[in-house]
Amino acid sequence: MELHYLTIKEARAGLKNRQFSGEELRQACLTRIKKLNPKLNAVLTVIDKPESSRNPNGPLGEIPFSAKDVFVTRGIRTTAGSKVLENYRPEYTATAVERLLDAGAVLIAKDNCDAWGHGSSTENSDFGPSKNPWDVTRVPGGSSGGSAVTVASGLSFFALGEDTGGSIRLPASFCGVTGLKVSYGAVSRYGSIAFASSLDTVGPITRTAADSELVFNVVAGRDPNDATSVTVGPALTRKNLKIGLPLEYFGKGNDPEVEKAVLEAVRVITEGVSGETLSLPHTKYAVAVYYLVATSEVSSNLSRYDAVRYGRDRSYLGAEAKRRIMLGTYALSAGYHDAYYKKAMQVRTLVKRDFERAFKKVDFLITPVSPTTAFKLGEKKNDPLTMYLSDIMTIPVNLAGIPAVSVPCGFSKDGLPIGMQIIGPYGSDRTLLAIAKAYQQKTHFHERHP
Amino acid sequence: MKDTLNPIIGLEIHVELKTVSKMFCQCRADWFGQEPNVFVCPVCLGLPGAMPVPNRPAIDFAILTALALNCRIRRFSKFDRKNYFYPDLPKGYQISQYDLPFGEDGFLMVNGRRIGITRVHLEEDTGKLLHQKGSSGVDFNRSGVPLVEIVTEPDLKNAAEAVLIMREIHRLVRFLGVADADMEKGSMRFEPNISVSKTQKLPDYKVEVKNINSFRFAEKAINYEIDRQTALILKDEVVTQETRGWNEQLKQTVSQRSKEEAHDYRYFPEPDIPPIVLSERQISSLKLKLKILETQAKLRTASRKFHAGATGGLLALTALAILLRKKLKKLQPQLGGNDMDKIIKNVLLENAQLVKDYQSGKEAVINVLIGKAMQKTGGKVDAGAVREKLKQLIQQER
Amino acid sequence: MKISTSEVKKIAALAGLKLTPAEVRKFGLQLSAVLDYVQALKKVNTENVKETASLTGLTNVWRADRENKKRYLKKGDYFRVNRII
Repeated sequence: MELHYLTIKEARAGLKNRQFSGEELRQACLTRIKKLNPKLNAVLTVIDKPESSRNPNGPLGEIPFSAKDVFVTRGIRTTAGSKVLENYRPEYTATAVERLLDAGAVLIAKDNCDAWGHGSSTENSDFGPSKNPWDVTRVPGGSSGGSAVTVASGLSFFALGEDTGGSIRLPASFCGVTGLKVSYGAVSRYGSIAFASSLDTVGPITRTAADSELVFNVVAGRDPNDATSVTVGPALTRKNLKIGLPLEYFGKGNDPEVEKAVLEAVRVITEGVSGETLSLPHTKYAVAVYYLVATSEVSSNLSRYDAVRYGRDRSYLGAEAKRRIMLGTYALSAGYHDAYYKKAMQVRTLVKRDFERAFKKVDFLITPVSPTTAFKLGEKKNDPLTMYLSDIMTIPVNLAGIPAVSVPCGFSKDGLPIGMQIIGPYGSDRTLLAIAKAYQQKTHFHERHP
Repeated sequence: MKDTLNPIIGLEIHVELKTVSKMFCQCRADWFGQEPNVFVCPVCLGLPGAMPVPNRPAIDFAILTALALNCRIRRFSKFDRKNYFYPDLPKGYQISQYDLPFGEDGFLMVNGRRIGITRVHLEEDTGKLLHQKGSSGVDFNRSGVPLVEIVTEPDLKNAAEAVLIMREIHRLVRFLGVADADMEKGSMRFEPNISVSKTQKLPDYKVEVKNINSFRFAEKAINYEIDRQTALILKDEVVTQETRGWNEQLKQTVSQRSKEEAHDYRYFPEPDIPPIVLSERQISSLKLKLKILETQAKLRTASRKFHAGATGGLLALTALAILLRKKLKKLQPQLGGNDMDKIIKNVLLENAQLVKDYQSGKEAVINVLIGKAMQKTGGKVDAGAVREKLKQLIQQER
Repeated sequence: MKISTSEVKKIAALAGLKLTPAEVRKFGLQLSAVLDYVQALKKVNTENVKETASLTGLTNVWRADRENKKRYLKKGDYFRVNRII
């Protein structure tokens, strides 16, 4: 029995029926990591010492999982993908990870990522890029690239990722798995190494939307350690949800196969009723806003790395980190603050309003996650601006703080996964997952493995 | 030509609040005299991934102080990040307040003169550097302790006045019960800003003097600076804008760093802490507290006089004190924010249909929900606050 | 939007970064390109538009004034830095 590709639901059922043990699941993953990680470089740290589940009968009892290496884990090396923290062992554990452990899940690996979350391909990791399991000459997406690879390749049953500008959704779509970017604040950020504090979200990467819901229910909810955390509500059960298609996300910039797959998915979801087209006019400014707001926050969040209390000194910061710190410092500096940071924060409000207006007319939006499928390693690395533009469809969602889920909806001729993005109003996380679940009952794209 | 010029002096005062815990974490705030780095946690050590959560009583203390200084209290306020590098600043930024401080435009009377208080705001303290042979040691026990910063207008005209203000603020914060203000422990720090001018107008420079930890040193340092600057100006020389430190051995101020390279602190709103919106009720409650303290003080004075033979006023003051206490009790909800939150969330979960009705336009339904919440709390909360919280949470769950 | 070498050095100093001359040149070019791109925001009419203050609508999130001994990290000694004058 191929244990490593079971869904969480299937694994829990099998454990309950004693078809296999938790230890067998753990070993299946560890064996696979040993076999495939040298080629895929998805995992930076393996936790292979036998650790019994805190709660074997919990909702995630004995399910092995991995976490993007931006989540601090007490006593277990946490690098954030950077040489600055290459040997850092945190003294506490992130709330989201604690909640998973309390629900019985077993941590087996820390996943590779673009250093500090800065990137869309994992090529900015100080420990080498991860490879796309569907075609190892291609990127898996980023920054939670390692996490998407572990789930897609059966190295873990699910992963905890982090999405600031598309970092869960893009790798999920490039690797053919399901990735949820939650409503801002829906999952505690306490213990998640900060990238951009007003944009960072913590969320699950799983093989199915049903699994995503299981993980979300465990990690979500107000945390007294995170003053920006909230508890979002249950799924809407209303029928005949109206779907909108924002003009700005479709058309000539897109790979025709991607567009075709997404439009076909819309037909499946709406059962033939066409989606309503509408406009989100400030979409074209979103990347510019992001690269001023996010970098400003980065320039501040990364100031603590001064080697006084932990880690190595700032000379170990990589080029992309330095670039973003400098850009952010510039945008906040005296004389430029109003023209850059303040202006960007104002346009951000307009991007947010575009969505609010759209959600008065429709219930949800569907778009591609990316204009293309996974690009080749090295293709965009030398031009930072081109790399930034890969996030053009995911960034606006983070600026608005609303939730979105990336769901596999097809494959290109070359066999590369295509993902669609379902976007909902603030707090609609569970409804998004319900829509994705219904879609996955009618389709099989999520069942294919590399 | 006069051989004395007009001194122009302003004060920047930092007061450590005597809360139980620090400003943004639950470590003990009473740090003095401990082994280094024993009261530290991920938050005040600035570990990767740590996040701040504001101390509510610290905010109340800051507002009480601002009220006692006759400030206008901002209803809408926030915290901001002040970015700079120094080994005793673990995050590489200090959480402070920039453009929306809790209190502004206050005043204090001294010798019948009105001295302006520009602002009163709340921030966190830094760690301490200990200079040892060959290296320095950093102790973060003090990192994150709540600090109220009081800034006066440059209205002071001589050292004696400045010291009077220092003494008055020292007395005030102890009277309010918000601080111990022990200058030897450094829990109250003064930084005078001094310039001298040929006219009454503000000159284009100021010198900040640090390292003053007693009223005596303050008077000496200010007088020294006035003389030093006067001498330079009378020789037609320029006074450098800078920071100087008082050196008690040499009995003079010594240049520390040039304030000309003014730090660019790149202030921006702290994204990890939601804004503060103070209700009329909260401010009234604190105004009342202030009145009670003042009345109690008057009561003590009257009581002493009574025992010494003088009569009159005691009865009236006692009655007033009792009345004020009653008023205060009425104003204060007895249930804390977090508990109320939990109860209200439960009400929403238990009444999903009512929530849906409200969301679909039946606004009156909120009264039913308020009723249920009040029931659960045994009436121990303010209905207005409950209504606001319900609306906020329903909005989030859309 | 060209950034000069001296500006790059100034920003690097503010940001606590030590750059080699090659890095100063490279970053200067790359940052200039990004700044060129973000100039597009100038065209947006933001009159009377408030900066995004909060995404959750939350206000007044705070806690009681209590000590929690369980969170202390065991240190009991100084962190060392090079001598600060």
